[in-house]
Amino acid sequence: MRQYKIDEAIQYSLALRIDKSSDVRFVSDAIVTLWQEVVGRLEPIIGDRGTEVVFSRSLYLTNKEFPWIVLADNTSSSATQIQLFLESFEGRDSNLLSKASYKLLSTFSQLLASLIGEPLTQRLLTPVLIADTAEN
Amino acid sequence: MLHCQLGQLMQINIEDFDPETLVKKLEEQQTTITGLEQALHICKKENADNLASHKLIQSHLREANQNLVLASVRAQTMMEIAEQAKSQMSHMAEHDVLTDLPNRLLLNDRLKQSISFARRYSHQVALIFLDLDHFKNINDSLGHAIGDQLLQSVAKRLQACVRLSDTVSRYGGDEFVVLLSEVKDDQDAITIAEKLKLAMVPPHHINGHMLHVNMSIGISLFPESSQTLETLVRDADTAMYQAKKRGRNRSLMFTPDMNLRAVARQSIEQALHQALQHEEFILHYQPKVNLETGLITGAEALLRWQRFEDRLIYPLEFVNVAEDCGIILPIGHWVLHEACRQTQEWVKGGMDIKQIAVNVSATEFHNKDFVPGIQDVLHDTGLDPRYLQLELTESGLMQDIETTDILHELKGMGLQIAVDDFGTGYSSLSYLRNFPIDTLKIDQSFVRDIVDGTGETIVSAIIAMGVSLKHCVVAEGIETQQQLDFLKTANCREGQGYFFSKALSSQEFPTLLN
Repeated sequence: MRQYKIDEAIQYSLALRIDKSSDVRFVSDAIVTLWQEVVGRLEPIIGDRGTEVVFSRSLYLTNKEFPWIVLADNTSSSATQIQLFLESFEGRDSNLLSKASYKLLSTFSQLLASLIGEPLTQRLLTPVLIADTAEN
Repeated sequence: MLHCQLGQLMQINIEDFDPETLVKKLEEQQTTITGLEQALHICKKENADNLASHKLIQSHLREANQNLVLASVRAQTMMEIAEQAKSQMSHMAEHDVLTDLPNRLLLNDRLKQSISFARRYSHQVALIFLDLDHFKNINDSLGHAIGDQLLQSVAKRLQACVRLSDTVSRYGGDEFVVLLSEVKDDQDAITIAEKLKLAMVPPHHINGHMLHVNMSIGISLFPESSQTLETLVRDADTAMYQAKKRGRNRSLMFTPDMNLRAVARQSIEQALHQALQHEEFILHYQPKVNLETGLITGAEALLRWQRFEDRLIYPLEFVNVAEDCGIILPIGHWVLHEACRQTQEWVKGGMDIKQIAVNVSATEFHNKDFVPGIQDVLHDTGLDPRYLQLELTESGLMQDIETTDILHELKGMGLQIAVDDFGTGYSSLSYLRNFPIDTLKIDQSFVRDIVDGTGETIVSAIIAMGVSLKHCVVAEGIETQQQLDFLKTANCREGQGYFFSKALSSQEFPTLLN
């Protein structure tokens, strides 16, 4: 199987999962599924609180570029945070949603890489992302 | 580094976890992470095939990793907050809190830079000083919150008029400064100044108020008119001051002769301070006469400056400078004290003087120490308050929403209140009804017009209004028998002017009274 760089993998994965859909609900579901898979990979390694804090920080950093993304307070769970993130999608252009989703995942992977190193990040995340491309 | 340790640790494939391999790898990497040491310790002690031990180690590892991730992200967040705070503090040090415009510090910095560039590339720099006309009236009548919002609105409009490379700065209070970093000539700067002035024409809509403000503008040019940073700033300020003096709502380019006037003004200011110290001020007293009986009813105390031996200087020549530099307050206090002291001396000496009138400027009247100051003077001189009448101009009365309270306080002390120069200011009928006024003094410009028959109607109307409102009406500037006859016919009760007597010294006045 081809070796993908993480950013590349994120792009492929989003393209396949969202597939230029303009349906907010469809995009939301795809993001939730992807996120659950990522969480499933990370929680055994950095724990649920570790995963939440990386996600929360990624959302905060993404919000700087996409200020319409609603942020939850620091104490909220990642489920609440992603819920608010998805609610922010309402009424937005699908192209914008795709860009915001990519930015969030990309920020998340970069932040994770800065904490645990790029090789491990790649090893943990790529299987989730590449699973889609492999199927196709 | 935290992430390196964590990264090294993660080279172990956790899904294919083997405690022996873990122990070996961890020992090789000589990691110092507490959680890992615990895991290592457990690994060494426990049976490697023990599943419980395996899970325990996994749990410890996860917890250690989790703590490291949390600590790292929090450290990042804290560092970002610290950087933001630093950047915010740096911004605050160079910007005005109210308008977020560059403050004087940043303006000076940019000015230095602009002058340096202008020297190198031989172009000109223009500095424009702007001051809102009568801003104090808005602040006093509508409150500081509205005043602040007005300043914010003005700041936005000014910014919209200039290029990004130019700087609009709030210099303090209602003063703004615009730095045009590169202009071709004076016409360039004048064009921008006019643009700034025009930007103020549409009213500012603030909290339901429609506010109209004008600006007085002064312009200086480097190096054409001003050769250093200091003179550039000073000259723009001087030009702005001249614009105000010439009737406000105008822009003026600095010219060297303005400096001469500024120097003369500075010299008057210094001389006024000396005059107070060296007791060069004196009071003259102009009698007020009952027009029916011809008897003197009182006097108006008038300030004179005995600066030279051969002539007296009248207030018209120095009162504006005194107002501007604030020395009007101690001078006003001196006038009040001296008038009360002299009157008390006359009263004690058996003179039949019924009233002494003292002029009070708007600046004095609206000063917070005004009423306590009067109480101190009356206490100090022992004068019965009923002898004292304060003369205020219409514009002075209209400047503050607290005027009514102050007037009632003064009336409560037993003082009389007169409106001076009536008919030349706001002449609002509502204040005649709301303010506790005793006397209206018809301005001498109306009395003068009685001569040629054009002023009779206005004078008659003022007298009729005053009488119906139960105010005493005093005509100022009576100079002829014709004027006196008309005023008597029109039922004007009192008058003063050269027809009766000019203002006299404190030695001459008692002779006239007796």
